[in-house]
Amino acid sequence: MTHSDHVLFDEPGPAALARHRRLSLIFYLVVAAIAAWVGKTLWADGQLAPEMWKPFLTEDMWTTFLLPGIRGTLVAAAISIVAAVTLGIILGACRQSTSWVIRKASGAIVDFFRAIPMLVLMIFFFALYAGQALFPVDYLAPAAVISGLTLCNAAVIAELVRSGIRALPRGQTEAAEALGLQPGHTMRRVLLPQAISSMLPPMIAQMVVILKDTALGYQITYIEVVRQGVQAGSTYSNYIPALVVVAAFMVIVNFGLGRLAVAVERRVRSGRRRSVPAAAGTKVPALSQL
Amino acid sequence: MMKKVVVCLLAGLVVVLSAGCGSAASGPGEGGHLTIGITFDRPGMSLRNVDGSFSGFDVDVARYVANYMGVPPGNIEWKETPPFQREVMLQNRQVDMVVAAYSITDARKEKVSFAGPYFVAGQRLLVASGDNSVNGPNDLNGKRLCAPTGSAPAQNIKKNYAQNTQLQEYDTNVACIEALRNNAVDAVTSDDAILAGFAAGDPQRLRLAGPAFTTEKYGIGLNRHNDELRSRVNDAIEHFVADGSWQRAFDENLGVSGYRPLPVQPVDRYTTAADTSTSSRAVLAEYGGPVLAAFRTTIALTVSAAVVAVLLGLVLVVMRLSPVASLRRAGTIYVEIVRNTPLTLILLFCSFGLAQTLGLTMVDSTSSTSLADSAFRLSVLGLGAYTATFVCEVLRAGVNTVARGQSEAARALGLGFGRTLGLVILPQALRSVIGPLGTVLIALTKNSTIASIIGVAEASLLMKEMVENTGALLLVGAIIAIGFMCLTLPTGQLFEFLAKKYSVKS
Repeated sequence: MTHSDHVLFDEPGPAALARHRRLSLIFYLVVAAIAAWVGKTLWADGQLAPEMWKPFLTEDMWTTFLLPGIRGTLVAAAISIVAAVTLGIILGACRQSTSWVIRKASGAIVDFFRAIPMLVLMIFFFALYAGQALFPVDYLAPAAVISGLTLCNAAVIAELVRSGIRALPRGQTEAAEALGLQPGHTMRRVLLPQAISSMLPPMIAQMVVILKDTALGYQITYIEVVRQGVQAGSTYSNYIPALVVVAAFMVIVNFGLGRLAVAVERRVRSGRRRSVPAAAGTKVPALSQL
Repeated sequence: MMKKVVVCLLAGLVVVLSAGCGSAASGPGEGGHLTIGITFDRPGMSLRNVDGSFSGFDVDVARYVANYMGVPPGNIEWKETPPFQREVMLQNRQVDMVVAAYSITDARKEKVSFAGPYFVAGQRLLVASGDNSVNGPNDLNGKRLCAPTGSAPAQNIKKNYAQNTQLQEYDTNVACIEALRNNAVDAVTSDDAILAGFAAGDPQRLRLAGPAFTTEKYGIGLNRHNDELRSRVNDAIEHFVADGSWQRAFDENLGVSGYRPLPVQPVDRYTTAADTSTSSRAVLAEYGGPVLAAFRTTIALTVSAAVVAVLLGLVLVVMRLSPVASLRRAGTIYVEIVRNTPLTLILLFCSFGLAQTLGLTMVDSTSSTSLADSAFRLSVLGLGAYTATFVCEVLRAGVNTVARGQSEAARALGLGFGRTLGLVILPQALRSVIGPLGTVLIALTKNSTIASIIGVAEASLLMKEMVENTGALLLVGAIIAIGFMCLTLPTGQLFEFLAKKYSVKS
């Protein structure tokens, strides 16, 4: 999505170009001034000293702290993504069910989990699993993190799937019915495959959300990358550098996933333009990515 | 086909989730195994070292007791037991014993049993070594104090000394020590045994101040229904003290700090009282006021952050659509970086980076509520800066829904960029993004819970404390859940209504 859809300004002439150059210069100067001040303060505080950053070159830093954290983050995210997508598709399909009970029940579940903060869910599940001894001690925090991530995001994905199904031309359902397919068949064979492919980009965006939200596990002692970064920071007395390294890791991975979403979207769009020109204007719900 | 895929995914999930469901502890005994709960972040007491091994006084006690019962060191499994989970984990036999600066109290004796005491500590203060103004809890008037969230020391200060003391709560001792090093607080309070370890690690900058003002007897926590194990652990502790191992362990781990603990008391072989059940309803009644206050904070946080997010989001969208290339690029970079960083990290940056390192605390430091205000304002800033990226993206998507002829007509009339965007495009774009903006606001409401990480006393922080103190999980969970539903569901309805009312009819 570039700004090419809309042209909000005329091609700048010489005077406008000069004005833009002045504006840019001022902007760069302001940014440089802020950067210089931050740099100076950090330097005065010793945050930029080499010994603050050297620990990141040692093996122990990675084997004891960061790698287990990265592993925890990726494992929780991977399992939650699979589980949330599965559950989300089921819930989303159920909301279009012909049975009143199933429709209402799945709607209530989706609304409930969209209304509750994920952190609250995680704290709840952590206490519940520990209290009922549902998982051995090593698996308490992971299970709580995965449960919270899965339920909250399944609700969001269910909404994506539902709006995807709704955006399909009515003729798809009618044709399936005319062919004698039962409602369940119509959903599984005709509607869901199309809805899912058109909803793929926002679903991948949702994966970024899941990956980011594993950081909530910090508060219930799940060994993920933010928690490990903070522990490393306290061990080596380099809190700020540790936070910077962890942030860099998260931004890079999420940025990559975001790019993937854009690429998939492009592919889906061009593919659809070739086969079903009518559906090319399908409006993707603007926001699922929080 | 679809069905098969779904079934396979579900089966995979079940396998993954059930993979670890074996039994946890095989029980102590000759050559047997022991699962011991400790903490991982207390130098001198129990610390996970850089190489992954464990050391500290508590660790030595645990090793000695295990050895006494015939369990070789290699058969000990160390588990991290966070303070608010210790009783539950013992009750469920997920750990055989907890050796983690665990004070023997009557309330805890109702849930678990204690061997020992093996150490007598007391609550004390840790201050910067150059600071001679604090020598006891009574010197804390007008000072800023840090303690781990909801811990007994924090509650003690709140109850008995908090009149003119500002309390900053972080989730760990470690974060408090970091705040003290950065001069963001004047003192940290906890048990002296724990603080001594930190002081020993950085004697040039940290010192223990004043005498201890409580007595904490550390015991080894055990399951309540195993008197035989308790008596054997008690035997082990008696030997530990008698054969000089206690002194050796102390000298090795805490000796350099110059800290002298109170003399060890003889082990207390008390008889376990009959099981009692305390009424959780009575405890919950106390929380009526705090729950309302916490949700007031949640609402204040959400509304303030929403204002920041909308203003900053508008600036960002103008930057991203502007004719000046450098502004466009800066807007894009900001959005990509901030959007892809976990909010937890952003808030930690606000507290430790902005406030403590760069000095942007955003409050008058002489004010008597500067700590709480600072945490609140920093959270507003962090939440606002994060949410602004989503507001910006929503608005940008909205601009694309406006018919192209609109901007062409505006330009044909001779309007410049500012007026084309501000007078023609944005007003129309706003109407089509009311629904998505509602979604952003709901997400912001839910995200405000993360502010608890830097000690803002909002709903989820209270939830943790309530779960720990009352144990009435379902009730507490229901209260908090209903509270959030009261906030988010009407918001959703309202925005849906507004979206319909103002929708652009084509």
